[in-house]
Amino acid sequence: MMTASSTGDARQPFWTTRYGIATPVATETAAARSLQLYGEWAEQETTLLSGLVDEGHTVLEFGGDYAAHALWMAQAVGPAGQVHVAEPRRIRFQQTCANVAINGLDNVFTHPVWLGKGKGQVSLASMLPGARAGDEKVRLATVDSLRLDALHLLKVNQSHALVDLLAGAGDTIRTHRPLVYARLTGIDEARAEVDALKALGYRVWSHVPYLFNVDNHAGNDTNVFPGMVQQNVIAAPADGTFEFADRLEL
Amino acid sequence: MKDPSPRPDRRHIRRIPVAIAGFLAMTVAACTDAVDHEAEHARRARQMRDVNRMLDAMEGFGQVASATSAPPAPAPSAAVTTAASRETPDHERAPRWRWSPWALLAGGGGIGALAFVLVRRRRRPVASPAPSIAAFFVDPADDAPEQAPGEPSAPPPTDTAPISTPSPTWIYQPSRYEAPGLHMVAPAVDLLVPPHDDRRSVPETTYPTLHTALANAAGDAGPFLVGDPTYPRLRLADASSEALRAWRDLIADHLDDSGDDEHLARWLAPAIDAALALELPPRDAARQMTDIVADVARVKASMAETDRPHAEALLVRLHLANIERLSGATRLFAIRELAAGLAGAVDPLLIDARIDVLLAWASWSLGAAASARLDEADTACDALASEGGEGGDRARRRRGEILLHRAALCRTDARLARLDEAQRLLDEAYRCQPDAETALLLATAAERRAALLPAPAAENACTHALVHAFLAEASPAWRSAALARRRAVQRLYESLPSPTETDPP
Repeated sequence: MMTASSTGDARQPFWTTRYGIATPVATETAAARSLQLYGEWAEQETTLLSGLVDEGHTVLEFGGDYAAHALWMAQAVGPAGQVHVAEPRRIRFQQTCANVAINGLDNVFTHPVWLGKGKGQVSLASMLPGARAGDEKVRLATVDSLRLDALHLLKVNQSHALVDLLAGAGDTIRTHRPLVYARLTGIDEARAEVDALKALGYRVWSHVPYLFNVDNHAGNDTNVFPGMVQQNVIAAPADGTFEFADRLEL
Repeated sequence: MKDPSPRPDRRHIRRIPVAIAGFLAMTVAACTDAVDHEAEHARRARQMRDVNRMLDAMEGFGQVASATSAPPAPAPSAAVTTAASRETPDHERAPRWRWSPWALLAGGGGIGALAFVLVRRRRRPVASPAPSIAAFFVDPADDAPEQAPGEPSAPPPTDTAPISTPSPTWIYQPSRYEAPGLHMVAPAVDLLVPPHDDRRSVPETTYPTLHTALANAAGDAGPFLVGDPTYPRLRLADASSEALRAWRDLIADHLDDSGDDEHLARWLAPAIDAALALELPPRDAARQMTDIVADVARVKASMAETDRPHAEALLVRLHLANIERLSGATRLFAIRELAAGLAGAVDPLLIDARIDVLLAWASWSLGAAASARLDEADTACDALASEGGEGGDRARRRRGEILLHRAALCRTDARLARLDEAQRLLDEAYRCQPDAETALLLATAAERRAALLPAPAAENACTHALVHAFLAEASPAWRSAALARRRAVQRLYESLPSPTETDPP
């Protein structure tokens, strides 16, 4: 059951989620609403990715989602591993940091940047066409500029970002050949995003997880995401040994 | 001179016309026999047709022979019947001396007429044609008497008059093409797998009551007991909730018994409770599993030191069954903790249970993470093999199982080599320990090889897979899985290109 029903419930200051506690946030996004109602977010993504992440791995996640996935990934990679979370929006970045802090995740590193193909500052509205949220200036950086010592999984949650992010991650990808898991932006950009992955020498498979998990952590039977799925892809270097035989290869 | 003989009475003179009339009547009766003979001949011809039809249906010449060899009973003659009916009453008889000449004359006439009839009848077989089998092939339609339009068809003859059927004589001549006198008839091959009764694998003195009752309650779908007869493992197969509950009730009834039944009941109770708990929602199941683990701990405490690894291995498998229901990273964390607790296991039973854990973990993992788990499982196999004896056989089978998992992670070009090695190990393991579980694994390896091989080699691999799937089907505990495997092999075999398609032009 839920421990808090709204952000203004002072008696229950935290949401108890499957992988830790979370500070309540405004339920204006699907991730926040899922955390509030079900105590988890995109659990079917986690089911797949928990088979890929091992102790000692390094993961980079673009789009914090309130650290909903950083909570489990931090445990999955263990003390020897690292989880890097990039979140460009100021308040969401702070909420992510809060959840990392209150759960004591020493191996999680947060970055207040938009991961693209250049450096500087850009308008959020220019990066997110059609976004309803208010505009703000965000810092732009490349994956290569993070100078990661290792990278096993690159997870891209942020829409309208994959093509530019890959353009700014050439050196890192060539060096570490990480697996890439990304949420496709939509029908207009999906083909370009898949082509960008293939251009880097990757094979790409489809993954379509439902947003609602019947066995959710809160035991909530009400499905507020009826029939809703995410259009995701998982990509692996074509010269590697990775096979995803039971998935549709794109 | 006086005639010493008495003068004849004149009344006998008046009897002469009567005797002459009797003689003529007998003569006429003898002549009318020719007409009766024609009618009887037609009747016998009809009977012959009927017999032929019957014989055609029976298709047995021997029966024909026995029917025709019966001595014909003579038909009552009209003359005899007439003579018998004209017997004179005693009170009307004349004195013997008066009537004897006329009686002799009349009797002689009658005997002559009877002899004439008999002579006519004795000549008939002589006049009949030589024995032929043509009568057996006569078309009844050709032989049927013509019937006038509108005339009702005559009913089939129903009397049982003797049949003078020509008896065919068969002459057999030896030929170099004739069949040998002694026929070697091979016994029919029963392609169905003989039903295997698992109860026979359990010593009669062990669990005679409870084991039999459980087997009877299980039916064909399960659950089943496999492995060590003293500490068997529960295999659910296709068991329904009703069957599990029936087992739970049976086990509960025997918990207060003594001896082997009580021992088996206490051993199985946690496993069956866990199987039922896993059908509950996750939260309820988790609560029940806590109680079940405590039950196993109590069972373990009551066991001898040497038997405790059985209980520890049971605990591991109960935890694993619970973990398999979890999702997401929760499952990852739980199995990671379970595997870490088994890292230092030295008992073969616990090493085997640890391999189960690692293989389950590998099956949920991908890429390098899965390979890392399989590497750990290989290391565990080394420890198992170092035990020697049955441990070595078990390690060989588990290595084959690990290679099946490795092959699934490989690309197509590298997969075949892994599967070849897996099949080799499993073949060896099956030779050492021919059980249904190993046979099923072997069938799986062979089928996966067949999918990668060219047609001629694939057919051999399919045959290998099919044989071992058949063997696995003999065990009820593995029958369902083996049947599914056999169907998969048959589908694969039917999808292979025919030799003409693969031959080079």
